[in-house]
Amino acid sequence: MPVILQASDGQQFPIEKNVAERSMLLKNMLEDVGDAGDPIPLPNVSGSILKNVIEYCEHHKDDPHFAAEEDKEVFESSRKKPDDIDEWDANFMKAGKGNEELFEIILAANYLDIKPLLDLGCKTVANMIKGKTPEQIREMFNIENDFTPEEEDQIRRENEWAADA
Amino acid sequence: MPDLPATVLPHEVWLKILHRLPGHVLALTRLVARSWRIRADDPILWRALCWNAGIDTSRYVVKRCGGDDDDGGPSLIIDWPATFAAHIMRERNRAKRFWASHHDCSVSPTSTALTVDPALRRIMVLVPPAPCQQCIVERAVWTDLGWGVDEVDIPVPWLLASSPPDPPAASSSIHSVPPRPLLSRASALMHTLTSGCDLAAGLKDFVPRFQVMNKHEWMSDYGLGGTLGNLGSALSVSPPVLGFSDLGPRAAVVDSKGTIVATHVCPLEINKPRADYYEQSSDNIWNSCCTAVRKAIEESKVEAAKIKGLGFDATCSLVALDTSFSPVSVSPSGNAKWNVIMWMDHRAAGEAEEMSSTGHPVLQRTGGKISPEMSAAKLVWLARHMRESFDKANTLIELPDFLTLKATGSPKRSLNSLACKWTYTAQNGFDDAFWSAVGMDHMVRDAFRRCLGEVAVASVGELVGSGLTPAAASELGIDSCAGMNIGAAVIDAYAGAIGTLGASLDKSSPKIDAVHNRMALICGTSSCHIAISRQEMFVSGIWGPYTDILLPGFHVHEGGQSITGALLTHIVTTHPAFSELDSQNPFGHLNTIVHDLAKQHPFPALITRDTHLTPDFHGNRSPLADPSVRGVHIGCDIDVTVNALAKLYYATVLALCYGTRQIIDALNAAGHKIDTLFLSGGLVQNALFVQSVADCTRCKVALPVERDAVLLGAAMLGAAAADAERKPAILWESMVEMGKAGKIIEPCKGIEADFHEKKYKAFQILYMVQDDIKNIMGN
Repeated sequence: MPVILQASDGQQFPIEKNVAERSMLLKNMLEDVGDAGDPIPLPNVSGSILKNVIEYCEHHKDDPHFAAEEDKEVFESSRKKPDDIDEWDANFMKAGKGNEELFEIILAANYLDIKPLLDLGCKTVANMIKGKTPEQIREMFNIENDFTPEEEDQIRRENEWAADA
Repeated sequence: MPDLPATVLPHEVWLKILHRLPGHVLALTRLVARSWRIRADDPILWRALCWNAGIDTSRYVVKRCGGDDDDGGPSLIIDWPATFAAHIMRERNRAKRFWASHHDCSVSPTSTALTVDPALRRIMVLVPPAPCQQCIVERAVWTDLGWGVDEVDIPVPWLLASSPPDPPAASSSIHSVPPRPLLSRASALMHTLTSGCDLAAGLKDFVPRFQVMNKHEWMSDYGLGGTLGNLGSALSVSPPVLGFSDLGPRAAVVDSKGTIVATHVCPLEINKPRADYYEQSSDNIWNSCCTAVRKAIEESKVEAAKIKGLGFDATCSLVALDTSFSPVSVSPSGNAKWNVIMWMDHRAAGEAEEMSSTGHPVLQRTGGKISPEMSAAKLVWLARHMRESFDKANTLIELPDFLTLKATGSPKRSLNSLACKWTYTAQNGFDDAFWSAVGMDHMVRDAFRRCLGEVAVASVGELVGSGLTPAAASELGIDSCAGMNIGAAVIDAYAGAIGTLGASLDKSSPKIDAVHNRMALICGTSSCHIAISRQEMFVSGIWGPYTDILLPGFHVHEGGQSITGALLTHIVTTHPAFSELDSQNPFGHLNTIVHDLAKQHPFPALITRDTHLTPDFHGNRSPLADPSVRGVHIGCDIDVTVNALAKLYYATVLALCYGTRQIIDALNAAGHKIDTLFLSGGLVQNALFVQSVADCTRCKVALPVERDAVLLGAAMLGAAAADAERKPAILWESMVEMGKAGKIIEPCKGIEADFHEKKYKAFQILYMVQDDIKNIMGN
């Protein structure tokens, strides 16, 4: 019996239960309240984003689940993991998605508690930042430089150890 | 939409992203905007960086924080960003020092140059930016050590952790000079043992360092000392004389006052068909000797006609020759070129063990066992495993004697080689029963013809054949010297003893009986203690007595430590603080630290008051002669700073010196009267070690003027042979005339001497405790 998800704009998405269970939020909810067949409202996620998220979950529905206690380790060990991304995942993140959409997917993954998708999103953003100058980062994310020249000088001095790295 | 990520994403998601950035990128994001700087300055990010970098807690930077803590004191917190920044600076300086010390190393960011074999590339591509030329050279070393590259299994944590804080400043020393072959091999090893580039840092964790050091004693290039593959020969002239040693043949021209005028070293070929097999070619050795002699004479600007004598020494390698003295193969390949089983070859380990297990009385003189490095064991191996070669090899001869054979045409053997490495004695010759017991009846039946030749064995100083043949003189480039007297050769360590033992300590010339008070101490990777006496006495755990092998009418005792410099290297390189030492001169650096630490104390040794060791990490050769003993370390703690390393290092130096005192005590208890030590070998360079020898043994220590005592000793043999007709005691006279002591180190006195007595007592107790433990644990 399919699970029906309802996005903030009212769009409904019937999906298989094991796809829905990629989200720890939905998994816990289904366990707690049982499956009454009613649509589950997700007021924080728009239809277009939810469609993307479901696409990701469909593709990964057979992946092994993360054990819960691994969660806290991830914060420390994430640095040790290579930042290479699976080919399908990389294409999924690229395919016509702008920054705004990327961040919304990250937000949705965070809200729905889909750890691998959240990691994928964070990895993607981190890789975007690497190898760029502060100016390029500002341009990429459309950020205004709100430092005074004095403040900027001060930070550069503090950063001296990291120069020519 | 301004500042998108900052406003859209919650703080914890932000941290997840920033956590994935290396430190220097994280620092850079502080410059983007105020909101970014606040996030990037979150201590949790920097703490994770510090933890991942494995920074030692003693290096954490602490700062005072606003208010007081509960106890009313100022509250202190760890400044994580500053801690990480300091770590990066330290790493960068270390890398710079490393590169600065490797002039023979061409570095280029592209030298990952994936022209290496795919297995190695697997490692290298995973190592970020600049592995150096040495990394490539290193592969040759692995192969040489018998580890196929495929066997090298890189632990995953290292690979993943290797995203470097900063690669060494690669562009600073790009030059295209190819590394010199010998030096670069040694540097490659140092490279493994230090951690200058990221690859080496990783290698350190899985290359068995001690194995490297045992097998390749090139560490001597770095002031650790050690004699290896010595192939000597010395020419003596009066005024000028000549000598060789180490790695390849070295020749030196030495004047009649014992000053080395010029030296020349030649490379040698070594064949390594299997693990533990080391082979050489006797033709290659002789040709290299000839080249070394010619070049040394050339460099000395001495006319060849003025050369008055020629003396030889060499390491103990077994040479196989047929009836016409042409090479006979000892190699599994059957190639006749490889006809020398090198001293360090361990193919005969099984035979050696079997010979030791006979418990035969001849073993009394060899410390109770036969070493696989002794020719006696190699002979048995050859007879069993290459019978065809053995039958063909009409002349089996020790390398020093091979050199005199080439020079004179006479296959006369020296007592020195036969006694020390073949179980032959001046009194009884070979022992038939012993050789029969190991299945060598055939050798007994033909009266050891292959080992002795048809002529009588030469005791030390005796002349060989009828002097230098015209052919050999011509090959050596000293045609005018044809007919010159040639004396029996000696093993390199004994050349070292000859080179030092006769030196005068005051202005007077020492009489020959002064040798009773003297002991030669040759310290390098391992060490060798040589004492001489007129009485023939057996000392438990000490090799010998060997009669007539060094001075006619005298008996020689030889003690030793199987690891000396090698132990210091082991202790220092395995310590966590090793990477903080100056990679070019770690021991010099440690001595400076010891000196600084000692400033607060009345005398330096006091810093080792609570640290006691025994030096038997690789067994005890003398005086216990027990290879199964192991080291003891009392006073372990969890301090991993450089200062802790310096203390441990000093305590190890002292342990080695107390070991020497044990040997001297055993010799003196048997009737020697040793009170003066003549030091030579690589460790002479180490001032702390030299002073410790004097302090721990309570003996005067004389340092040689000429660093190369082995070359000098060979030259003394040459000088003695040249004048052999004049007097029988001439070798001693040459030793006195040409031997020169430089600095004399007096042992300490007063409270410092009392302290060493106490420490020596503690040292002896460690052995008693070990005995007790052995009894408790049983078998």
